[in-house]
Amino acid sequence: MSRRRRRRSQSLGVLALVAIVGVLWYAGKIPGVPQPVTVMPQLKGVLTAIPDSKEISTLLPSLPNVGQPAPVTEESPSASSSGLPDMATKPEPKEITFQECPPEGDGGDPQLNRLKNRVDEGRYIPVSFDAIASLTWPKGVEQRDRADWSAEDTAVISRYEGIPVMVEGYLAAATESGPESTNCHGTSNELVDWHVSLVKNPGEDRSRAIVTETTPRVRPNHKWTLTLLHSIIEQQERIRISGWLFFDPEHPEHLGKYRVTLWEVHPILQMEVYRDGRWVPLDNLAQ
Amino acid sequence: MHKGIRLILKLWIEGEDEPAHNFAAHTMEAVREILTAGHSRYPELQIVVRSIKEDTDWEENEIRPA
Repeated sequence: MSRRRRRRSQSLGVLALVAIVGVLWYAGKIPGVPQPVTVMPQLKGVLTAIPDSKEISTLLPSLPNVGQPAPVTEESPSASSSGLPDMATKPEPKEITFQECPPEGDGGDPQLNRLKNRVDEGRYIPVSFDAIASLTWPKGVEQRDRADWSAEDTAVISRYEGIPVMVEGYLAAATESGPESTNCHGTSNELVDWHVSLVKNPGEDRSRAIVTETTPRVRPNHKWTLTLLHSIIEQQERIRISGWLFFDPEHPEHLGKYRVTLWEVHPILQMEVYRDGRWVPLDNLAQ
Repeated sequence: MHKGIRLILKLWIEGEDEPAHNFAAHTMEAVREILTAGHSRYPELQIVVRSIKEDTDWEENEIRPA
């Protein structure tokens, strides 16, 4: 046997041995060595003891336009050509019944309403304004309920919808919306969404905006006010919005007029403003 | 002379309802019935409701009547 063949057969032997040991370990057949299933929860415990990026970002000073360190995410996302992360699996939305209004609302598109009505926090991934603004969608989904979308179109939207994102920019507008099926057509101020128009550069108008929305189910956890948002618009302060990437097919006629894309950050879960060299939660600024 | 016209109607409707009850379907049905009920006062007119749908455009239109 030549030296090269002998070396190759030795390598195959080592690989086979490693595979056998691995199988025995997985099956718990090695005395004194715990199975992987018993080790994983301990490993997970160690990982959860490490603060996530959001906590870190409040401890460390950060600068506008400077990317944050990659946060610990549910899945390790990999960057795609869109500039948004690819997440093989995304966190399952958690919704609540709010003032007797169920997560699916009182009509309209129940799938859409459930997504708008999620209340869970995510481990937000910093993404650029342009990554969201330039994200495309199939024409076939516009003004259609999700149940009527083709499987191909659903797959295109699902690739990015539900990513927990953190995006920076400036505010062009903050307005109270009207009654809608999502919120069971409630008319009171606390039962309607607020549209918060985020633009890339100070002074840009809503035609260049990504629509982001605060919802009645999330706002009780915060001290946000429209007055505060209007003062941020007046001062042209830099803002950082965190929430769920969401696709709203309802109003393509608003493109170029009130929005630059049908992709939204909806609902908003966190808002921070950049003051004195650090990001300050809006909750800390409320009077 | 036989005449015809197409009218665009915008309504604001509000009232008490159970939170999860489909308010859009309920109000659309109510409007159709109200038109049918009132038709007897104008027997010379044939009225056909071509379409009714919820207006969800809160950017273009006023939020609610003053």
